Amino acid sequence: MNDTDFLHLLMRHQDGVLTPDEMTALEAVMRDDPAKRQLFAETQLRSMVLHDRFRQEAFQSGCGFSRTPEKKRFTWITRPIAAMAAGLVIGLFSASIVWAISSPKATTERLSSLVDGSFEQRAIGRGFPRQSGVWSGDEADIVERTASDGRQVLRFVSPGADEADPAGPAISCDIFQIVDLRPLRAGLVPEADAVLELSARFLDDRPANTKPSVTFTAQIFLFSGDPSDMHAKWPFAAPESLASGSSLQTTLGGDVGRWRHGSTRVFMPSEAGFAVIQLAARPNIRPAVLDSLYADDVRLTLKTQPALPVRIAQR
Amino acid sequence: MHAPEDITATLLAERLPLTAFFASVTRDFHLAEDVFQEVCVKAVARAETFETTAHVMNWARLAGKNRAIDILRARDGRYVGLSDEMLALLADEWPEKSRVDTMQEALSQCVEQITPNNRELLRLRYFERRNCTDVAAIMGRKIETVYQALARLHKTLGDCIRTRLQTDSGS
Repeated sequence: MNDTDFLHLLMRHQDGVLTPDEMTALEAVMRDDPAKRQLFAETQLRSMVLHDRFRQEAFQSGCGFSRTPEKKRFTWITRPIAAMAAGLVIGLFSASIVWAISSPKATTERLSSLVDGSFEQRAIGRGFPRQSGVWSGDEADIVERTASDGRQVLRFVSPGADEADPAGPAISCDIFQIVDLRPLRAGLVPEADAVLELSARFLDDRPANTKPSVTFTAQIFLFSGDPSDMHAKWPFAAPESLASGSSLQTTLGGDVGRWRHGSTRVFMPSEAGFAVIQLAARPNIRPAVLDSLYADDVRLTLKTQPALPVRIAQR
Repeated sequence: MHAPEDITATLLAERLPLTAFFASVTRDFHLAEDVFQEVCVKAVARAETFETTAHVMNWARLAGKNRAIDILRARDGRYVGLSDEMLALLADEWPEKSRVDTMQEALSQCVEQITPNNRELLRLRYFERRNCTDVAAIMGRKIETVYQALARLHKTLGDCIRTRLQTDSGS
């Protein structure tokens, strides 16, 4: 196997889509060839460095979307890691810093602003929501069944067109909630990195290999301003979001009661005033009847300084 | 025996190589970072048990790998990925900090040379946590084209980094 073919296989491995035969082939070629193991390690490391670089850029621009500055980029790289480590070592002499490092969950807060993420209380409204804290959207209902969280779950019933685009195609069953983020902003440390993580669980309880495939989506969009007229602008307003993130999972059934977990993260710009949370089930051949497709346990979590202990130590 | 601050400094210096190794299991760089955080906390809590820096690193790779597999099993009901045998083989040869330092400097220059489209492809894949199906939909490409483009980009960047390092060492 040449390097290009190997890298192609590795990209599929990173994407989590290797078949058992392909996984066997990947392992066989690495077992027999030290150069391929080195290429694997170098590619993984380069991917991690790229991930880290884009994140630093986003933090510097203060927004989930990369807004590349005009001047020279990536100046952070010239900062020696040894110096960062030295800062941490100095910081560790403070008892409060030791506490911060040994309690990373102290930087994570599940937000109550997202209401009824386990679908225990309220019915699902129709149309894009007019106010924060309610689930509303296309035809869906709340049913009792073995839940991921609590006793009830959301059941996707039928795709619908968007309210602001009634003539548009009904390609997916979309349920929304507007989340008011303004109360959070007062509690944020100005220089801290804040990340919002949206997670949800989905269940495709159709028999295995049922056609069509269905894509479950959990999306979050952050906006500034007033959400009161968002119902009249959705989905055309989505590209105007300050930041967005999505988690997609395509299934052919066969979950047999085993819930799938999806999550996505966005950096929270200081000007973000509200979030639009979107849960969707999209049949990939239309028209199709939605059957036995569920969502549950939707969570919105605020994480500050999420990945770098040294940053916590420097507070 | 190491002091907690020595352990943390060691792990912090090796953050990117360790996280890249954990990502070989998780296939998710954000999740790999969470695993790294947990490993740091556990390592500091048992600092007195480590005798050498190599001991710390070997323990961290093993603990992180096991934790990553546990997380995937809890999340997906099973672990599908590289075998324990292969992960052990990779761990023995995994690059460390000095390799990252040189790679970062060279990569910063090499990334400047790729096209905006390719840069967006890398950003969607490695920062926005998009899978290749999603990337293909966003960029209006077929999924196989995305895999090929990513493979070519990694080869281009790898070649560029090697050339720059050779040039630097020769000058």
